[in-house]
Amino acid sequence: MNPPEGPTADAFDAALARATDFGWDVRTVETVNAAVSAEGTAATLRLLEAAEVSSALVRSAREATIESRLSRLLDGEPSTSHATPRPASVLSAGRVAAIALLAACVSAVALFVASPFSRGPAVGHWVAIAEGAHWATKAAEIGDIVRVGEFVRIDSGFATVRLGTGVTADLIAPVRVRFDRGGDIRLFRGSIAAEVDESGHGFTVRTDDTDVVDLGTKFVIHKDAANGTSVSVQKGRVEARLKDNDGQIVRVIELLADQQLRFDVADATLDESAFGLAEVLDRFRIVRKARGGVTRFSGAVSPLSEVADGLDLQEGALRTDGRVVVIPERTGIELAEALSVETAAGPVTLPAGTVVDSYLAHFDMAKGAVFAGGGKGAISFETQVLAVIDTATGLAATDRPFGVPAALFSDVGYRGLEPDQDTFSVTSDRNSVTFDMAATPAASLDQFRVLVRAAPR
Amino acid sequence: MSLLYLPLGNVVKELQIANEKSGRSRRQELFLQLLVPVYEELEGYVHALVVNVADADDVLQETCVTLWSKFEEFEFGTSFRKWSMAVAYNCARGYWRDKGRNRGWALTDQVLSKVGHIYEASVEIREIRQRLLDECLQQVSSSDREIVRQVYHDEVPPAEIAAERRVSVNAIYSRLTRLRQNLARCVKRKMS
Repeated sequence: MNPPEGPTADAFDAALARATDFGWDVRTVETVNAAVSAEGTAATLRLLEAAEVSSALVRSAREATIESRLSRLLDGEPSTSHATPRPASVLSAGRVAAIALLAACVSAVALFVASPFSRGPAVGHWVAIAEGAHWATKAAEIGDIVRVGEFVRIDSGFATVRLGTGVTADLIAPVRVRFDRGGDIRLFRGSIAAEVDESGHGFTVRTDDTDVVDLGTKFVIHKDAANGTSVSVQKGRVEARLKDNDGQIVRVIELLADQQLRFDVADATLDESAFGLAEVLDRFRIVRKARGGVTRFSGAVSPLSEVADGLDLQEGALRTDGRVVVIPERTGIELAEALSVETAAGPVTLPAGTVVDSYLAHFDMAKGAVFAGGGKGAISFETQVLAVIDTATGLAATDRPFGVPAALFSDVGYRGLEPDQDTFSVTSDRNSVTFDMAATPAASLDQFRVLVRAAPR
Repeated sequence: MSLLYLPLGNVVKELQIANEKSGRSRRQELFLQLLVPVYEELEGYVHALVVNVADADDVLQETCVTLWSKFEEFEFGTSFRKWSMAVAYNCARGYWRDKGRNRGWALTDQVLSKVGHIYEASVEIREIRQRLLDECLQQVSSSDREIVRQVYHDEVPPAEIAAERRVSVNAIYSRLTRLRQNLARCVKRKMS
């Protein structure tokens, strides 16, 4: 019996090409099934040749990453946790080559396999992740290490990374970045708001058309397909290095505070009005407002994605799913007269003239739900903690002057912390509050308010 | 000589030395020592069975995780290569079964089996082709390299690359297809 007639060679090649990059569909699957069934070995060999090319291209794409990792490994940087080759005098050339191969391949394997394999060197860690943030790449937790070569895509909310170089960067969704060597960031799309310590000068954010080099500042950078790269400097100065299609720097522009710039490699536009940046800056303000002066969230603690006036914080209105949500409230409140606030440990008096920022920690599980852990963590602030208000009456008395404008608060008696179940403490440097909140099925809401010395604006 | 071919006792001793600094467990080291020499072949195998690059990446990852989680079942003294290829084949078959269940279409078991057999039977020719392919890759332009890197390493969707470059998505796909064709032609030329 003759084999069934298969598709033409061109149709088969087209199906393979389509499946390789676009993905499979019913037509491509039918074509390949028919070709391999009809032609057997010849069609299969063509499929294998196509796969060989794909596989080689994928390998070449990550070549640079492996090369840099390999050279780092063989240079014996202390941060590496891979096998370190011993001196050549005690190793044969073959052995050195074997270890080099191993090192290279371990890096390659590590790209695909999560723990227990170590990856590139650490460049920082996550210090804030908005409640409900949606990650398209593997979701990070607060405290997770960020490594060289790590690719991150966040589709909603924001996350804040603290880099070892002294840079705090808010990644504002939708955003896609890769962390590069030296703590620099490649921005493919979306917005980054960076705040750079003196030690972080030189921090660079790269897009395909601009490198933005920090010279001591706060700045926002945004990249999108429609408008190119926009940069807005809040404080200090940055250097924007504009690149052409070949990646060559064609112009260097220094931007000072309150200046902004848009550059688009596609149409070689340079626009100092930074059209389109207003919306980005609005989002940046929302993120900054949601994070407030918190420098680090630890444990099961998150900021909200957005804090709006009129927030409903009554029992059951804002469930926090085993986590504590920290809400920046009013800022820069100057006390006209001395203020005595009630806490479980006794009254605390703040002298007249003190300028205060306020934060509310909010923990609300579904009533009657069985609590399965969580509610334990710490919050660190830019400035010193003045008082922690942990009683229902103390909270009620401070809701209006310090709470989010027009917010709705609960008046249940168990709103504050229960001394026999919930604990908190202020660290000796008075910059952080650690806590362990355990709402019960009967008392599902726990809140406390932290008053801190106002952060400089 | 790869450490793989040293007697097991020597391998363990080598690994103990390496681990003094690495902190990685002996079992992990041993696993990597076995996996590394076969990794590229495994990668090629998965690409052949899955074809779509993004999906092949997922199946390869799943294969590595499965190999690691089942490593205790691997019998020393038998071929790690064979064992890992069998695991990869099962992962790829799982991928196609899922497709069949969810979409109603998939490469048939018969096709997969044929691809698997011919892949196994073509070791020598594959090695030659691989060497030639590596030579051909040296000739790829930096601009094409950047696209390849964006698509296959940074996982940027081609639609976004197209938008960034102000070209159509089809133009990006065509460029990738052309690049593949050029590489295939280059290998063919060198073979002849």
